[in-house]
Amino acid sequence: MIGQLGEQQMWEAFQSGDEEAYTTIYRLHVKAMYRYGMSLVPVSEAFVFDCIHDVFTELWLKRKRLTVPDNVRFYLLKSLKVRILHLLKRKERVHLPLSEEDYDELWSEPSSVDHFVFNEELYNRQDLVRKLIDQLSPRQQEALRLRYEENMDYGEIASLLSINRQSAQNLVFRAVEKLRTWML
Amino acid sequence: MDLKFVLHDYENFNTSDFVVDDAFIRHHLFPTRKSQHYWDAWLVRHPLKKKEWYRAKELIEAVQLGLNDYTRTYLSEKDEEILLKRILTTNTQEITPSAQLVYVWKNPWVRSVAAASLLLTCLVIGYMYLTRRTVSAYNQHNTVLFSSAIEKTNATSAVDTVELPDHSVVLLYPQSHLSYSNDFGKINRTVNISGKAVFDVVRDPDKPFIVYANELVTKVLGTRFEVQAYDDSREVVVKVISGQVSIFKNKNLLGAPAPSTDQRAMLLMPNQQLTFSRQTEEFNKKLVEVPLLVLPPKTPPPSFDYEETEVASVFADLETAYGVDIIYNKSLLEGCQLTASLSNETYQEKLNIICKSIGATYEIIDAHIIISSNGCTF
Repeated sequence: MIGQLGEQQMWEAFQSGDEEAYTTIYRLHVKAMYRYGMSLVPVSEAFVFDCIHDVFTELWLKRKRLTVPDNVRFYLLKSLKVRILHLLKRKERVHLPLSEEDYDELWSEPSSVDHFVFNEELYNRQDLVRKLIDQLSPRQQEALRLRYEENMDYGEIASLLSINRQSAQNLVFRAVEKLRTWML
Repeated sequence: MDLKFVLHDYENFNTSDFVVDDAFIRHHLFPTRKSQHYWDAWLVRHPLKKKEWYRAKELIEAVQLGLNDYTRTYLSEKDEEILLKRILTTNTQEITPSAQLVYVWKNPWVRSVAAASLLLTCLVIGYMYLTRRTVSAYNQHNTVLFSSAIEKTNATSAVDTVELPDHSVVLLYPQSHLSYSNDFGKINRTVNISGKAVFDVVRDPDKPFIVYANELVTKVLGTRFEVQAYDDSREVVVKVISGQVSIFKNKNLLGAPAPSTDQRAMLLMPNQQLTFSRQTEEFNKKLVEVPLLVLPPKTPPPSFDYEETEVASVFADLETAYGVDIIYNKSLLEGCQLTASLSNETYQEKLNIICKSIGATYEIIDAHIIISSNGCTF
């Protein structure tokens, strides 16, 4: 992983029209963008490709007017999600009848999960954790991916999920708490 | 991404607190010498917290293990390159807005109209994405025909050679795809293509070689032929270079596309070409534009040297050499003779010379050549 200084210099080089720097940024982040995109819209790879294409071509078009992001990975994931949601015309709903936390609480039914965990001798550990994660709400799963794979901090997760920082932290905390108690 | 430690009161942390702590996670994802040093020292100072700390570490590892499906959603290098190429191509078509345009933008009326049309465009694009054209015939075939397929794609600008497990050779043209089953050749020899390809099929009468190409299914035993079936083209074209092939329409794209016997097959001979219009669903059989010599193996080509030769035997030579049908009135042409050396001429040139010298004309109808003549008057 390249240091922040190098990454920001790279960004400035790209802004001044350096196509090689632009290509390097693409190569450094496209894999993460792809898997994140596919986790949001698993049904259409072509659609994800189109969205990544749009993000990068728009960057090029607007390069002179952009600011240097603190975290390029975060900036690109956010741009991708905005693009995907924009095209799907399905903006994150601001007013939910329940609060986010309440909504996530509704998701799993621990009793059935408990039962299932105890019969798990046959499964290996990976299958087990994967099944447990599948029991979490989609937003909790997304938060876990962003936190433990993409290394986004809570402020960045909050921005990607359109919630505040504290809610993002709670979301991850509750997910981990659940996993911990299920796995004990 | 340098570490910035927030001075947490880690004394009271339990396992879950550690697991969600930014600094703790970052250390496990991207440990640095600094973070290593920090936590080593911390653990020495807090021996009682050691158990919780390690449990937290295990939990993070478990979560990552569980997210394995996610991290393994892997973008292939090929797709990465294709996408990059596409992005760079779009960038070269970049249009720089002129100063005049910027001025126009300041007009609020223009802006609201533009905003409205932008919204409309977004809606249209969104709609187009949601109702994207249905899966191509090629993709449909792939899902129905093969449980696990090997796919070859030619993304270059040159023709690619693909050798199949039975040693049949496929020349795959640019922007074309070829798929075949993992166990190709075990029971049958089935391939599925999109784009253009020339097949040189090894003869195996027990296992017919079957090519799915959009709406057409081509079945052969051992031949050389070309198929053109681009996803977005209006026609499907099959040209036979040698041997013979049978072609039928694949009625049922969605269901099992098994070549059923009740369907009427079209037989195609060398130098013949079949064009299927995808819109009108009509077949058109004709001669290829440049017929080539097609002789059975070990047959020497005719010399095409003629010395007062009956024109009927000249036509017979053409028929065997190029595998075409020539239709003419035998009694009318009786007595017509030809003296010429045609060994270096192409098929078309030969036909022209012959007809000129006997005062005849010809036309090509379907895959036949019809000779019109009033007989030889000398």
